[in-house]
Amino acid sequence: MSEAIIQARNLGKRYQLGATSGRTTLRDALASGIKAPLRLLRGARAADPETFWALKDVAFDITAGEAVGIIGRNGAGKSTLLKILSRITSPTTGEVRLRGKVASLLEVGTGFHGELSGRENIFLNGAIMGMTRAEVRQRFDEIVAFAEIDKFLDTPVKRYSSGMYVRLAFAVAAHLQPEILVVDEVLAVGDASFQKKCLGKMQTVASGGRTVLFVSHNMAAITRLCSRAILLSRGQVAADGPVAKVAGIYAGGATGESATEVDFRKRGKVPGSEHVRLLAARLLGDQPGSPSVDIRRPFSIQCDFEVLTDRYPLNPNIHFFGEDGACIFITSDGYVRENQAPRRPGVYRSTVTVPGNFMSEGMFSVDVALSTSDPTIVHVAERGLFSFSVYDPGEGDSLRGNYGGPFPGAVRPMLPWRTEALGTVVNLREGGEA
Amino acid sequence: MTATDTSERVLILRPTAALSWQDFRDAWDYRELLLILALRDVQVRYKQASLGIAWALLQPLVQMLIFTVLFNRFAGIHGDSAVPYPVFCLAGVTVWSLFANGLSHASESLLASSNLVTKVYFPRVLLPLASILTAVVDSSIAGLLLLGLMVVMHVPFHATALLAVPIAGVAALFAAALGLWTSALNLQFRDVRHALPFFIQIMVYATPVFYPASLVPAKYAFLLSLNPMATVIEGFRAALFGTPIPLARLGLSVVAAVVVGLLGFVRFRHLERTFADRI
Repeated sequence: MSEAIIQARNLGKRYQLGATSGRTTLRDALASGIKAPLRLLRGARAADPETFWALKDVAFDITAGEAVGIIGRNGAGKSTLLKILSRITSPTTGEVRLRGKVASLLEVGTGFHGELSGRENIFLNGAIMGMTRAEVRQRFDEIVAFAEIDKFLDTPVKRYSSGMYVRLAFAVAAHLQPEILVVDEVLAVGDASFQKKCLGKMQTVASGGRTVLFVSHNMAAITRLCSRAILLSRGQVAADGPVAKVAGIYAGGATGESATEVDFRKRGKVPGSEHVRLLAARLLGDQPGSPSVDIRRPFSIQCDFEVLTDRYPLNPNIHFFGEDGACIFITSDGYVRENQAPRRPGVYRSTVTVPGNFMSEGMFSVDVALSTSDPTIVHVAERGLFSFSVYDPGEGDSLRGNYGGPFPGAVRPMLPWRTEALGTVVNLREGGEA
Repeated sequence: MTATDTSERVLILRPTAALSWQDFRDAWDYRELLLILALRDVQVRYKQASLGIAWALLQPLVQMLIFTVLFNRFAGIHGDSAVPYPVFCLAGVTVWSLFANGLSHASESLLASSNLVTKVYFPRVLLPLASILTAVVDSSIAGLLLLGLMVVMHVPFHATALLAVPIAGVAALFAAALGLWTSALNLQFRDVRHALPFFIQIMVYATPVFYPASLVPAKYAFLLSLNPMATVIEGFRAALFGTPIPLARLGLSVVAAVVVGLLGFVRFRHLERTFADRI
């Protein structure tokens, strides 16, 4: 087994809070220097301002060739970790051992200068990212072709459209050949077709035996690119393991309990009315306990409820919401439609199965409600009970096939298609616009 | 911040580490970037300005003309070499601007490149050093003006004039040594950016730029000897105009510049760990 290419131990980073964060005026320093002359020389401050740990006790090993996603909510410490790994700032405690050249891509176009031409900026940016002039020259044509800017090579980049600017910037970065590549959110820029190209390039890098650390909020991109994920929460490693598992833990993180089940009886507070109570709801995927679901496999949502009176026909229904908060679809039990009759008091369990190859990739959150259609009464409506992620392992047999780019759409059903040959086409208009 | 295992190529990122050879090797590995950064500054400066490279000539020329009118014609100050005052003065202005421009650009270099400092790693020391290189380019152009003026005013050339180039280099060395301090301190204390232009303005009078050192009364002469830039400018003129070069004092100046520079580098490296957090 090869030794870890990145070894982090006891890593911590402390920042100062408040107005004086990191900056002192000469006056303060002189004042404290007069009070304690030695202090001025040592550069220490009189009183420690309030501090907080952006990272604390972070430890992990990354083996050469691994593609690792770093996930976590805003402020979890992702950017701080990347800044330490890319040597922009140094840790307050602990250490990192790097066995290879690191290139970091915390932003596209770092060091680009608007007054300089595309050509000049390629050399400037390349050098800043750690390439030698000879290396840039060697890959120059490739970079220009990738960026699709050959006509504007000698135009100052301040005249570029934002799309061209980003394309050029990413093109330079994509042609770096470090042993370790650290990438932050750069795929969030550019138009869809360019994002697709970038993602494809990243995949090539990752599968080419190089180590990639990838930070993104785009869980679909992370699950597609990375085999492993590290979940940071409040500056600490909350989970580290196979990407599907960690993505699931991240998804369920909001409730703080088992990510795939909410049991109101255990919480001691059962939501409901005098007629019905919701006892529990859970996700049943193909991997028990995991809140991430293979896009090709069916999964189920189950809810347990207790009917207290037989006054109303009760209708359990489940709402699925996408990452942007839009409702993807609602499904409800057909019993009421068919019988139009209340159920007898007692405990019931409803299970709905969502077929494989139906949802799209991404994060979804689940609401469970119990309602009566006529008159319209909502007895229970529990929002955001849990979230789960749908991922495409990219084995080629989903609708995605071997396509690696962005795939929009709220659902991604595999529908029956039929295409038949109609014989040889002749007599199309000249120019071929059929 | 960094250290290297001897057994294999391992980079260790740690909270603190003493200055080591690795720091110098690191800076050396990035020498190409130093040139590219300096080139960028030169390119950008002259692309933005419609007068372009002429600015590098205009500034010392105008400064020399003002000094000539004010101090030579009105106040009756003369150079102590057997050269016309304009040449004497331009020689001083050329070396002084190398020092003054180099130092002030170097001080601002980290703040001016904050987008780089917070986004990508390279030895930060390249930024102030690239500013010095840019000033060297500007001053070389001004140096051509000086040569032109010498030809026009029939000042004879001496073989020692070749030594003027390394002596001017000592001015760049001083600018770099002080620039290491001021650029790093500028992030810690923003006062530096107010204090430094003031300091440079005062120093132009405390340095024999437009007057000869011999003008200073003997009892105050020791004050000039405390100012290494005085020695550099005197040495530069001596080499250029073929008078005896104060080699011993120049040697001392080089030693002083190297010591200040090394201490500055240690301080710079110490503060470098938190540059990104301070900008």
